[in-house]
Amino acid sequence: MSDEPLIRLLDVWKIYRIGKLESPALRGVSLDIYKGEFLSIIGPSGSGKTTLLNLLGALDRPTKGEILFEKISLNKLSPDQLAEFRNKKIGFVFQSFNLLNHLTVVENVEIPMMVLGVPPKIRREKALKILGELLPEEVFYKRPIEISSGEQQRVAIARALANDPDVILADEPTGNLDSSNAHVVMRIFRKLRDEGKTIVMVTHNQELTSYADRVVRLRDGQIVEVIKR
Amino acid sequence: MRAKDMIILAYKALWTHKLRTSLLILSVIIGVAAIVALTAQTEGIGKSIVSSLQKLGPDTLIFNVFNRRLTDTDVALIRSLDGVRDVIPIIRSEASVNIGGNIVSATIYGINIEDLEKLLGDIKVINGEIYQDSSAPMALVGYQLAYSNSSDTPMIIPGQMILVATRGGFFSTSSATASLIVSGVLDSYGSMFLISPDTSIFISLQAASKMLRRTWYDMLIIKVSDPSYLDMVSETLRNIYGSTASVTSPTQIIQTTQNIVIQLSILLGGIAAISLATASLGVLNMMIVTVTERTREIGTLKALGFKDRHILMQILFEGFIIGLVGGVLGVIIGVAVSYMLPNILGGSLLRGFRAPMYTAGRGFGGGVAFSYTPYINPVMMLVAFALAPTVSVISSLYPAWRASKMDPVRALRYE
Repeated sequence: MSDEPLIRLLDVWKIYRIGKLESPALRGVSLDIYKGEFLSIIGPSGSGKTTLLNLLGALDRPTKGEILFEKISLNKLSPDQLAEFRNKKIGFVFQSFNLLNHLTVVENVEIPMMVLGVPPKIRREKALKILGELLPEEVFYKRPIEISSGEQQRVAIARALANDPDVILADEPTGNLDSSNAHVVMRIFRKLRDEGKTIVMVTHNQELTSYADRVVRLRDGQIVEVIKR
Repeated sequence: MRAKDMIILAYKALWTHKLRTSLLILSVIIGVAAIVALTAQTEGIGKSIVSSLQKLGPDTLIFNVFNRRLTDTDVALIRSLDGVRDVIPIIRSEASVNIGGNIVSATIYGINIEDLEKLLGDIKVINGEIYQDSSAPMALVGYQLAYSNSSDTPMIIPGQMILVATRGGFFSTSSATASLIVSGVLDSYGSMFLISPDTSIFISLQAASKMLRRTWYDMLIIKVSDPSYLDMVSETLRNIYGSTASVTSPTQIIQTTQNIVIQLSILLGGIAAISLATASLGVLNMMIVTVTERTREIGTLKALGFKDRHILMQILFEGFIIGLVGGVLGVIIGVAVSYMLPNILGGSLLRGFRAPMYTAGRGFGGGVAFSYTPYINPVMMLVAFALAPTVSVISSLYPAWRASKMDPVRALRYE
């Protein structure tokens, strides 16, 4: 873990407007996330965990405040630049895996590389290499619906790693998994963290926070507690 | 992102919904095939009419009058007119013929043999020989009459006597029965303008005059010295015979026919285009449904780095593939259907359809079914083919735009 923050959130607000009604999801969140850190965000539903993750992943823009990634403000990037940023710097892991069922496992892993324009042969080799570390070979050419949910989440992790991003953002990655698979995923994250990746995981499973280096507790859109382990 | 990868993704996405995609493609196929097949019919019919008219030659006028009889005096008068090269008098009568116990409708033409040759271009006798210009009741029988049992064995052979009951000419209501001796059987001519040789019996003028007991003619075919005299001769004839004279030139009919064919093509092509328009609405509808269904997938792709235009292109490629496959298959099926339709239509719908007749009332030609070869216009084929992907892509524009503009956060939350 380095001393220089990889991501800085500076007084970040996110206010959703529904008609004339204003509903603040985040209220002045400031947080530094370091390279090679495993950060866990916990809190009750509606506390703003997913909103925070979406802002970190450049899927959304803050209403107020600034997010710096490697000292560059995400606010200044155009939609296309944000898309490129997500493609190269971020790997997303979702609760319900979000794999494309009309593609095979290996093709799913290739998608982020496709966006980058990596030639088919090279991206196939790379996808197989990443998959090889996470899954048995017999699932590589199956469709996501043909494999177990634990395997599906590992495919999603492989996809998140495809472009060798700096950060893995995981939104309730174990929400649809049994406890043994949940621990498998956690161990993978732990290993990735050891390899230098920054992991930011949203969860409401207290038990899993033991894998994290730091736990940030959110309530009503504000950080109420930061626990260092 | 490479276009090839987008096409592959589009293809795989379409292939997931095989039934849905197949039905969409089918709707495009129907539209394209309809355009190709229907315009091929009108153009084919038009070309067939024109070519049968052209057999008469560009120097021909067909003449008759309605309030009096045309006699040898008229023939002599018209022959003496400036610009007239030849006059072919024709006697014509509808008749019932007894062929092997079956009573069959036929048309009897009294025409001198050399004039018949001018009219048919070439007298093709497959059995027997031509008749002589005498009063002997010798007859050349049309192919379809001789082979009406549709086998290789002719019902009529040379030397055979056939019994004919005439129903009179234009001005005659009397009927008479006569015997004719078959001199020969004509080969099949198909449909022709003015005369349908296949269902006709040709005898000499003298024989017809004797058989029908009359000395007047039902029509005169006038050959002018040069096609440029057509108008002049027509005008002279109208001046002499007044408004009851009917002067028709095949050239005029050709022009009219071509105009009608063009308009009919536009009409039928338009009707067919409506089916393609309906197909495009189907594409639009289905793409909206598909895009909505795939909201979460679109959100995921955006999270993975897809730009708005990547999403837009992917959906447009899906539309393009549907249109392209539909267009290719539509043209192939359209061409196949084009060649099947004449058999279906010729056998039923067009039984009553005959080449345009010059007479105001009764038509010439006997009961022959109209036959034609569909004409596949390469331009029309290309237009129909190109229209399919174009229309399909245009229909996909709105759904594609909607998909590309989806907010990734909301899209990812979509259940």
